[in-house]
Amino acid sequence: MKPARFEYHAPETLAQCLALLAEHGDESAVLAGGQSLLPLMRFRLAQPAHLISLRGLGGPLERIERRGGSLYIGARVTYTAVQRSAEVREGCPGLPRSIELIATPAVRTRGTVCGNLCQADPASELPAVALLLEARMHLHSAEGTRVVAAADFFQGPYMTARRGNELLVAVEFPVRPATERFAIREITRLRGGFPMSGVAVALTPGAGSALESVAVACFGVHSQQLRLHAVEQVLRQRGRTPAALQAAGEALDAAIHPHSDPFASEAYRRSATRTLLERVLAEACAQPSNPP
Amino acid sequence: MNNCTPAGALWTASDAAQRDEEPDLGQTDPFVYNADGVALLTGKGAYIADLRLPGMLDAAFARSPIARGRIRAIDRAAALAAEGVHFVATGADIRDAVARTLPRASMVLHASEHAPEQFNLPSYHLLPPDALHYEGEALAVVVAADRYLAEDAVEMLEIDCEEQVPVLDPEASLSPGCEQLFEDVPGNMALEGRFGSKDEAGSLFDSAHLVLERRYRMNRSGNPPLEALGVVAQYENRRLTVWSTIQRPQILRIALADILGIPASRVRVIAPQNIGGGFGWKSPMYRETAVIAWLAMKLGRPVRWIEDRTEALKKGVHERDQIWDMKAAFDADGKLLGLQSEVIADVGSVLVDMYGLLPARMSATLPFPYDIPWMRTHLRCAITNKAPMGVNRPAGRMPAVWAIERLMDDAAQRLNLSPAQIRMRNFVQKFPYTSPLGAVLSDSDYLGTMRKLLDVFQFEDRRGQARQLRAQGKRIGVGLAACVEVCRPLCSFGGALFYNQPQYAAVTLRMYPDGSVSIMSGDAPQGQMRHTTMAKITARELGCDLEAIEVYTGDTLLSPVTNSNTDVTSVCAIAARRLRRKVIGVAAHLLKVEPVNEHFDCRRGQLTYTPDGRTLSFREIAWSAIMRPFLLPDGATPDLQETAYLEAPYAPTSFAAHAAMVEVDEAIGKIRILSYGFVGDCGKVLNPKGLATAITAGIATGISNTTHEAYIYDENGQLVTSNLKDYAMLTAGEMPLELIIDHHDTPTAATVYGHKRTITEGVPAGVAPAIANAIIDAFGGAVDLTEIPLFPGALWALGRKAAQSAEAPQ
Amino acid sequence: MAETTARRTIPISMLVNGCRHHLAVDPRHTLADLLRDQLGLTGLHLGCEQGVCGACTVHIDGEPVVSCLTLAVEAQDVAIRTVEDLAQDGALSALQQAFLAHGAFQCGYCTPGFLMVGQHLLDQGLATDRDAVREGLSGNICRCTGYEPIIDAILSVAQQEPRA
Repeated sequence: MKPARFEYHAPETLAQCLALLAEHGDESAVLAGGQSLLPLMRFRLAQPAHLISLRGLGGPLERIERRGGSLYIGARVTYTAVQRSAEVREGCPGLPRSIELIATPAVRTRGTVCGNLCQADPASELPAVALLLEARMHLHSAEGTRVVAAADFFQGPYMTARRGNELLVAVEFPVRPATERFAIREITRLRGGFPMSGVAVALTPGAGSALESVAVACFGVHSQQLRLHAVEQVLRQRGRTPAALQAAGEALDAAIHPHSDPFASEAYRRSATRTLLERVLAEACAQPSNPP
Repeated sequence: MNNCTPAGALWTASDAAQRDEEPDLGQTDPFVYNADGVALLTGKGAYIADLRLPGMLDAAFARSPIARGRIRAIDRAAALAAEGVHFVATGADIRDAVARTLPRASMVLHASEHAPEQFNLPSYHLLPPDALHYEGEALAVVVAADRYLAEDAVEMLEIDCEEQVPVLDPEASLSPGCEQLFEDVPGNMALEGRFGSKDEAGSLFDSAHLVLERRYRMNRSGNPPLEALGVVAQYENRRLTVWSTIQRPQILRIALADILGIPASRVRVIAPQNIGGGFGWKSPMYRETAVIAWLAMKLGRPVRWIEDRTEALKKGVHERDQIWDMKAAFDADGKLLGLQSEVIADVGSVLVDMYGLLPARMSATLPFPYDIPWMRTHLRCAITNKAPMGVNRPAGRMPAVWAIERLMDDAAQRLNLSPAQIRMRNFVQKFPYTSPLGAVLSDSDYLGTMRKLLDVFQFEDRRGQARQLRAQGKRIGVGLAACVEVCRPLCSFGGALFYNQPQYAAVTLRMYPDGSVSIMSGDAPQGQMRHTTMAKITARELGCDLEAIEVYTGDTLLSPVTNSNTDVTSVCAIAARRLRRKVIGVAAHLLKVEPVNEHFDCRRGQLTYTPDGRTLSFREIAWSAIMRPFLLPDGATPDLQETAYLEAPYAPTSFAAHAAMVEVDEAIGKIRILSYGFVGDCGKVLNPKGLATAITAGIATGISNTTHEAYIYDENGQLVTSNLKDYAMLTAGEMPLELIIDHHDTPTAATVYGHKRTITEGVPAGVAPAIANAIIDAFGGAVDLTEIPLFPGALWALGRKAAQSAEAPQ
Repeated sequence: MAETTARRTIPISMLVNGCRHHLAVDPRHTLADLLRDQLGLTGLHLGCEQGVCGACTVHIDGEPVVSCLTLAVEAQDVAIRTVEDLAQDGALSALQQAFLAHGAFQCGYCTPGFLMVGQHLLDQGLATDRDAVREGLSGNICRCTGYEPIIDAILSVAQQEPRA
């Protein structure tokens, strides 16, 4: 399980990095934390000819910055750094809460949020959270920069809008309103393993069972993470009544196409995801306010 | 009566001397010995991958990508030309060089011609020259400067195979008309055995109050350790030295000598001082080991192979994987009158040695703790295109215990008895007891052990609580299980007739002129604190200074022939007591007194003649005996050493009662174990701390085998669970919220201290049915749970089925 | 066999257990292999090489990482600490002593990883209760102890020592 050979590059400036990406493009892989990439390379499922390491790049790439109404998480920022950031815990608490579910403590020391998003594993939590919280991806290349909304960034299993010559320099998460609640639940076979089903929700409760605003996303139950607009519509219009939850569950069922594998059948995933939907809604509504 | 003790007493009455003072094996400083203790904490353990020899090369194996087929051609040109590559070998090369086929090449690998059962072991070569039998089977090897380069070259091998449809279902494999997978295994049946009552059942089933016909299945799973295999081989001056993570070094030595055609006197096998867990998985002589040894001989340089996790999971050995079709007759009071079991074991393909048949055979002959007047078991081992089966702790027991303990609960439910009642009604009460399968149960108190469990776990109270909680809509239940553990399975039940391997324990103690002592054991411990145990026992029984003891394990050059999993504790005690008598003999002569044992006190390297208080140090005694034998009587030999062999007079059996309280989240199919209780019969507790740890680990393994670990093949025979994310192992957060561990001991007369050594081995077997019975109770008996491992999807489906049926939870 | 060509190696400098090392590393070699093979620090062990079992855990700049998923070349200018560094001046650390006292290991293969993760929990004051410790150990697998003695050992130290 040793990785294959590659040409290693450690650019010292962003410009150098982008030049390397321009030159080697699809034959290269970007190495941030490596916690997704290294296992693939060890199984020799990925054999990039060039590895472009971000370790020499400082500045905004290794920072979390609050600017305007958003949090910018640089390409090199680790899961642990996000978990510990007071700014993120205050401005976007769903993110550290979701990160808690990822892998193991040691993997979180090195793995990065941007790396996770670029990996776009259909079972991962963060792409769902990015969809939910309407994150924006800041992509740089030698030719210029562009910003891609999360909804347009994830294009399929392990597929994103990032072109071979681009680097995801930062992901931008709009700061959440103080009234918003967030909940995420998943089912894994082992703690930190890839989820067999997962649902995340961000909502602002209204009076009684009404919901002022609600966003729902799922992961692990479709060829990619999904923002569940039909579910949201039902809940926004009808609140959290039993009948509305039933309709929401049906809308969820219609939206997803889970696979069957030796660990879980399609029927199980469908049913379990509906259960998780009800539970995250209940959990979010029961929260008093954004915890610090 | 034990029918496998060879001529000559291995056990004498004088060995079982008085047991006044307990040997301190754990109350204070449990980890005396560095190989067991401080070295492991400070990163100074000596495992196989830590061994460095000058000029050592690394090997990597190319493995079959298909479950069944034939090799058409292997083009090695590119691989040979790759950087750092020294050698490439295929099955064709090895078949020419090592013409012997296995397992017949070595009698230690092959079942005995005296075996009463019908068996056919498939023949194979060290690397397949032609037919491929399972995905992951090694088919070529590259030797290079390091593992990275070796793996690069493996990828460059051009392997052309012709693929065939694999046979993956054991019942299909055994059915007439199925393609035969090996020339010498007709009907794909590697073993057929019929065990049990000679007389017919007569009207037993016809007239019974209740006849239950049930199928219980435990799928492919196991107990692979954290450290995979490793081999380093060196050939110099006609001598072959092989370092190997093998649990049975002496057996491996004989096998290698036979296979490679060199005298055993020139083969030395050394198990590293530290092995990262074995659990039986490191018992077989894997083909790769012999290939590496052959390469070292061929290349004249040391060659190493360190197995990675994917290889370990694919190559095997796998275990469990048995189908039990039981037909049981009960009377109205729940007495089990008769049991007929049809067992099919899926033993995979190229069995590395006859150990591949051991789990199934043990399963079929395992005594249950119940007095069953009539019992027959028909066992068939089916060959399929999967990795070979082999012993994984608790070898062979899990599927059998799964079946019987589920059966007892199923019967209890139908007869409206509690799970405790039905077991108590059926437990063997008079010992020794000979089961219809031939096994002898001895020195036990099943009723007492179970009563203690029911008491410490507050079983009936919890059962009531669970019922009340269920009425409030919670899914909580409790369950029980009981299981016998046999301590010398290979010897018992005519097993010695089947295996061409010695079953005795053996150890050599040698005292040096300065009074220090070395203990040389053929055992290769993998974390059982054996070094500490042997050192402390010897210090206590011999009376030498603990600090002056050195323990050598796993080196065939130093130790007498022995097998693994033997009663090292007892044989050490016996050897130490005999050596003590020799020491006393010399001292008595020097002091000019009679050598009366009771007149001498030995401790910490000092001998005292108690009648008059004169003392001699062990140093003085040893120096006289070895260096100045003229001080001794004529004919005395100038040595102070003792080799003891031990075959227990009969196979001790131990027992454990298990209880679980489980909460089920049926909507997502996950469980939480709220509380787990275990009361075991340890015979005699020698090392309380080590015992508690080992029992906890056994419970963890049991849970892991119930809900996490499974070897799953897809329809093409590809192993889906070929990495540690998919072959999931239990983590710290999934242990029961509460553990209640206690003991109720009945000492056995078959060991020196009365200890029942393998109480810890059998623990996982009771865990699966205890948890399953609790899950069923959580549904008020409405689910039909007969198959494990139980993933969330499967548990959810069971719950759905129960909800859809008419029954409501109690 | 082809001649061993001079492979491109990258010079790096790192601090390991307080000693500075200047090394030329093959970029595809993992930190685990570097520490074990080049520096002889064989305390860390390889159990899965995919970051699941935690037996290869070391500290980089005071934080636990799985060295099997870290390229050696990425460890430029960091401070690495391995299990060999826990005992100081021949004296076992409090955690190591607690492992002895609680029977928290058997075969020892996973032990260095648990010690590094456990030490980190203690250093950060995270070993507050049993559940917190279980959570902290979620990335370490043991086959020989059932985890409970390890949790006992870590908690016993947390309860002895004042918070760092």
